[in-house]
Amino acid sequence: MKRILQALQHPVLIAALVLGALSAWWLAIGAPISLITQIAIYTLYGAGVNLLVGYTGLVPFGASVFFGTAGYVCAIFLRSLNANALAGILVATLAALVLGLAIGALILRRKGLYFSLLTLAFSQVAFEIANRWTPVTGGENGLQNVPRTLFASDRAFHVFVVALVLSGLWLLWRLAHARFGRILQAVRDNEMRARSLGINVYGVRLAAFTLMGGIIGLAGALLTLMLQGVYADNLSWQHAGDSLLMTVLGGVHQFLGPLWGAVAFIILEDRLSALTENWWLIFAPVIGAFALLSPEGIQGLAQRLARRPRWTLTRGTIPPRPPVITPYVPEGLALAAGIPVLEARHVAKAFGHLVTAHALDLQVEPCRLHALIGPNGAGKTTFFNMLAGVLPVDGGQIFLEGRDVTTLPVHARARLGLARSYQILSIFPHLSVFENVRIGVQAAQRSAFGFFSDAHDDAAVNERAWSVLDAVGLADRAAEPCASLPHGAKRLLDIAMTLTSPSRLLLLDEPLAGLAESDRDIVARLIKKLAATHAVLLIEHDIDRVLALSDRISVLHQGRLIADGRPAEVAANPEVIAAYLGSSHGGVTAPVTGQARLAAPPLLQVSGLAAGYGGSTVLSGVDLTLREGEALALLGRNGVGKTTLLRALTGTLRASAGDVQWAGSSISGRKPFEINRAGMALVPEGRRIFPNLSVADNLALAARPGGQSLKQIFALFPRLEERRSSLGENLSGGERQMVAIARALVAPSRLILLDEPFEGLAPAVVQEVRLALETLRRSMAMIIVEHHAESVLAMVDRACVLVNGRMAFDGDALTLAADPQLQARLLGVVEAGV
Amino acid sequence: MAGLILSQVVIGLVNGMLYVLIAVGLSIIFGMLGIVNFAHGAFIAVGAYLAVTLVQNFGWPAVVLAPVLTGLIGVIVEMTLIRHLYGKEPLLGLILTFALALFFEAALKFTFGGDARPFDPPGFLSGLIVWGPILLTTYRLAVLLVTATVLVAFWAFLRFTRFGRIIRAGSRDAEMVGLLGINLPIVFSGVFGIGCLLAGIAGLLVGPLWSLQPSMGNDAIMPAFVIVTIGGLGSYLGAAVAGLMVGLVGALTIQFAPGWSAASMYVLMMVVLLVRPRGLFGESWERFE
Amino acid sequence: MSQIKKPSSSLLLPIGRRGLLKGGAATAVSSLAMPWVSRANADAPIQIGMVWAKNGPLSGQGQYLAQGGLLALQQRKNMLMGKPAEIIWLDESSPQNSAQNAAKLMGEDKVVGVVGGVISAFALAIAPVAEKMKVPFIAANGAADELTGVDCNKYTFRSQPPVHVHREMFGPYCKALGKKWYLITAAYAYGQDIKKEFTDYAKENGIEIVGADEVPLSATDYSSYILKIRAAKPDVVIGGVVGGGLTAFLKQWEQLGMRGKIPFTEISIGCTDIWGVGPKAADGLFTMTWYYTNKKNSPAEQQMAADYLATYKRPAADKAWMGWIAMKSLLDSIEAAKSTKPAAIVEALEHWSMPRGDINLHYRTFDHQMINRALVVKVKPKITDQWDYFDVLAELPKSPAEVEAVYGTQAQSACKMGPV
Repeated sequence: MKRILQALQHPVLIAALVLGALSAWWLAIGAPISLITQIAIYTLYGAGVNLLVGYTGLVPFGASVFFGTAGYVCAIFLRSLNANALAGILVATLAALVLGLAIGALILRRKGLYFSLLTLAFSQVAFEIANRWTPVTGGENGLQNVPRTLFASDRAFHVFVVALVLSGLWLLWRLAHARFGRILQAVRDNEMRARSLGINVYGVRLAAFTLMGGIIGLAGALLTLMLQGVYADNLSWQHAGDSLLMTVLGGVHQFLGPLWGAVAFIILEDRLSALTENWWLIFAPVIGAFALLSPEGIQGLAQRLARRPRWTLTRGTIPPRPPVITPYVPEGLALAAGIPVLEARHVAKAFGHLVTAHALDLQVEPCRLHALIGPNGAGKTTFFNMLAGVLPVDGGQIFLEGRDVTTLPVHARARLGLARSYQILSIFPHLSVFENVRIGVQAAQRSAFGFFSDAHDDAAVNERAWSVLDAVGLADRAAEPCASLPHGAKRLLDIAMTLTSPSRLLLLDEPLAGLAESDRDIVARLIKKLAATHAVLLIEHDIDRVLALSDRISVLHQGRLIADGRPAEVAANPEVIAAYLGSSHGGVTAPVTGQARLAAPPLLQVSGLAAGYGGSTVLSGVDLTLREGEALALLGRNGVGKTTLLRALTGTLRASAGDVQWAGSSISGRKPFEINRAGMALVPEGRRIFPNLSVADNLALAARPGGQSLKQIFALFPRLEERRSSLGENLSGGERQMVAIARALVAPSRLILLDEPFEGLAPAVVQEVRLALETLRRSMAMIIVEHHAESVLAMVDRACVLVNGRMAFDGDALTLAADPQLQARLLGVVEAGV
Repeated sequence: MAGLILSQVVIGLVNGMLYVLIAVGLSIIFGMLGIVNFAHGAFIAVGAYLAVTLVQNFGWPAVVLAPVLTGLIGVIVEMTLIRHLYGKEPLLGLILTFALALFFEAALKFTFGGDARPFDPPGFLSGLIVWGPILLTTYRLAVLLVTATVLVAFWAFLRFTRFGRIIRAGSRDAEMVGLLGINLPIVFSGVFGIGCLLAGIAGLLVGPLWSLQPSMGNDAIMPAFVIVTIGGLGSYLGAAVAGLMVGLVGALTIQFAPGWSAASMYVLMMVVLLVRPRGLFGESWERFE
Repeated sequence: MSQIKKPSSSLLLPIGRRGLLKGGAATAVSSLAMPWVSRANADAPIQIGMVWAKNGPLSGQGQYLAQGGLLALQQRKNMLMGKPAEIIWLDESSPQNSAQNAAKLMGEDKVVGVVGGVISAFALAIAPVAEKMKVPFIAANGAADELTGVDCNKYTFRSQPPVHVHREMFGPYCKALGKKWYLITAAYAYGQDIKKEFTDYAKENGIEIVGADEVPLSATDYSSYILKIRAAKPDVVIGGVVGGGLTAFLKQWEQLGMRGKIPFTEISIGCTDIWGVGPKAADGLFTMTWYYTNKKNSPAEQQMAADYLATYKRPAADKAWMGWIAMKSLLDSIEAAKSTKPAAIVEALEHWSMPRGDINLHYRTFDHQMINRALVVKVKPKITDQWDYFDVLAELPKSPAEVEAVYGTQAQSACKMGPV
């Protein structure tokens, strides 16, 4: 019974039923069946377009170039050779495939709107040719009397088209579930991650583009046969987007979106156009209303009404979990003894003025856990990006087992055995947890091009995927969509994806960040295990663990390697201690105790605040009170909801529950600009200064009467005065941070929110910013968000710690500073054992 | 022959400037709101029809109101419709502006009829100018001056005024602009209105040149897209240079291979993009990638 | 669905657009929800179909063509063979759309005949549908030779003279103006036809072509072309740009000071193209199928012009006449056939005729081409009326025998027509 129900939900069956019902209706009213034939053809056309839009994430404005060209090829072929329809279809489809390959090869290196408009340009050039080359194409008059010997009657042809379109949809449905289709979705979701798994993104896209050409070409040939003629109109820019429009109307993230779009668009047009001379006056609002009412298309609207919104590009299922999951065994590639797995020679990189790598030399030995540490902004991630091939080097060479890979692209290095995890979460957000890992396993087999059999039927790949999931403790959540995972679980998934491939070298960028203590143990043990069979290069801030786990430690500081050796040696190196710990213990005025501040009236009162993204909850039940002039540190590991709290406070994220009081009145639901005008200023993570505006313009934009004058700002940050006419994009990280702070000060503010203000800054700059904040501290309230407690506890009155979206500590900063155990529990980090 | 080519160059310049005007309107709407406005051509027609109506009823001085009214219609459209698309599937803008284009064209046809209406340049601009080999009509010279003035004024507006700064900043990080206490919804309405106002100016200027009918703006859309693409999405200087290039290439193809003058700009665009992925002056800009 | 729902008792009562909208919406709903309703009525009126562009650049012409057609039925008090009759007007936005809407009229609405095809491409797309569905179709505005040439069929008729015939009539006129011609034609089928015909004519008559430019479909600016023409100093410019292109060309022609300097000529233009140019810039010497102030108009035509003016408060453009004459020939033929059977109507159309001066308008049996003269019109030196732009210089060819001759003989025709 369940199987029957499931089969009834098969989209191809639904399409068959819809087309069948429409055909019956049309025959009943005696209307020409060709309109329904046209709907079937446009469904296939749209499905072709959606292979690119929905599955691959590329938007062709001019997919019509294949539709039109194939139409002409079919017409000209049949008229000159009088062959049968099937031959015409075949020839036209092949021609479209070849055209797809040629155009795709040329333009797929362009991205975004450039790509979209280029496809339109090709379509438009084809239009000009078709419209002018009258002896061959019939020009504006088109070609008529194309012979259709096999399916002469309209009904016979209709049955043929519907059957062919349904088979086409069935094949596409198979394709979506086959290895290739699943890789497409991975590429759409996260191109970078796909590359680092060894997927040749360009090749995959080219294949998808070519396939799209073929499918659309088939549809174009069918239209020619339906009309028994061909015209240039479909190529012109006015009609080039028709199928894209229909697909979006139906829903791009729905397999059947093209069907619903074609049905709605064509039937509406057909019925409304008969009504009145001015039928566009009705048609346009109806189409517009669809866009406004239903962001996920017609099917999305239906799903919303049924309260079951989800993407239906593939079945939402995963293979059954085996009763016993094979334990994960790290799969290392044979390592050649004696030569380093990875060698960097004089690798250099600079961004404008900021040199992030000064001729770095590093060797990673086989079967060793090599840690790379250094303060924030030391250039660790940049170094990783160069090793993995994401960033080109400015100088120097990189060798993998003696082979020079300096100029190889990311996926090629991945295929040579370089696996990598990212500091910033890098997963495929619209796929299930299982699928994320399975894609990695599949990619490791270097077999992206399976087009027919369901990838979930590959027992070996599934087994491996389950093992990897189980190893990080995610087997129970395998069927969930990634989006609904809590942050910690996403991090585990990220690591799991890195473990999927048999590799020689693992580059792990802060794998422990944002994990709960228990998860940290799991991952740490895993890393240790991996180091037995691989070479591991690890970036990590959890120094205790680094010291305990590593075989060797290199210390990076301001783009230079300042130490390299066994953990004990490195830990004792005075230069390391000085650089790594920087001036966080530098002399700062003593904090005012909580007691002294009690007298001031409350400025900000948060009660029971909950917030999240797209239905998920990141924060819940957060209470917080801040008094006038008070300085507060908001601490917590990466991903616990600190930035989310700031977003909720500043109004860029709507809270799902709770209330925020500002100086006695509620500001919940107010717009960001209103909240800012009330006196709450934000210095956001990553600075977010406007790169195309000068320093002076950046400040002028924010300035309001009552704020600090430029003179005051320049007194605070003398460096900005020198740089006042430089564009934002030409500033160094420290200067950007100064502009960001200054921008908050030029408007009258009573509270300034600073999100990770010291991140990525050189110690000297950190000191400068710190002093500036110190100057400001008495004049306004301040919330400093940090994941690094040590660097701020000395300069605030109070500290709050968020753990997994809840407030776990709210108390005196000194109390927290003095209690390493408490810090360890809440923040999961113990600073270097000094 | 050299004289003729020189004249063609001047004609190409005038056309190019007109297209730049249209392209800039298209570009700021996309840059700030992320909406590819396929209804831009319809706004050109609205501007032209408003202009002819105002001239007939109130005389030539009243035409300055035509772009202003076009801009106001744009503001209303933004506040009632476009606004609901921000932060949603970007392709929805395609459907909505497609619907808007149909609606405005149909509304113009419903009100004024589908056939072309006469619209001549004002009497004081109907002369002919001959400078050596160069031949130009007074009206075209006026169009050149007006477009140049509008473009320079608009550049200065973006560069030196507060609202201009907001637009420039907002095109890179609109949310951050809101976080600085600037009323973003009003800015968005304003930007859409300004884009439409520029379309209205274009409509007013081309009314006496082209055939004045409800679908008149449609043929200007593709050149405008081509120009923003060649120049590099989001680059003002790029649009200006590309507009002149397209105008010149167009005029010179007419001189030497007239039948292919429409295709010439697409070929130019392909060549430029294959050599320079982001057009002539395009920058790395997340919204366009 | 239909434009005229109930035969109105008062003749020539224009139905307001809003009224249509409402009435139309109601019928659309009923036809969507209850498709059997319209079929249940045995006394259903006789339906006739029209396919004319309702939107886009062609809708200006489409509107006049449709109004002419509606008028033809209104003049019969919406009755045919003693039964009520109605016209259903569908849109056409592309050849594909024309063909589908024609098929819809024939298949779903069971019309007995269709008039339409605002440009040749649309008419050429409808013609095979007419043949397949065996419903008579009259192409009232397509000038491509193929319609009554290679692509002719038993069910397709055409009332507009083809390009070749226009040239035969007009060529001598242009030749008289000078021996150096410059051709400026649209870069697609119709313009290419004109270019070919006039180039051939020039060759045969010792005329020098000093320049020939093709203009893309989407051109809005013609000054570059005009500069080339100016530099080439021809005696005559032969145009082949249409619709909005012609309007824009003439405006820019005037602005560049060319008006009156070199004669501009073009075949088969419409009043609407020139009305859009305006009195200041209007210029040229053209052929046209009909003109409302022409003294030689037959009484029936004069009546039509008067009825049109009364209904639509503006003079009948040539396109209104073209829509009218095509529809009238169809209605007359249904009446004459006393049947709505396609074969009978086709036969009646082949025998239909209407006197006009010293000739009878009629469709030739072997290719279904209507035989008629063309007018040579010239823009008045000074235009005082909002609508009246032209002086009729001549009706060509002069003698009835020449009229027949100019359309060619059956032997010259490429048309091979099958049986009904």
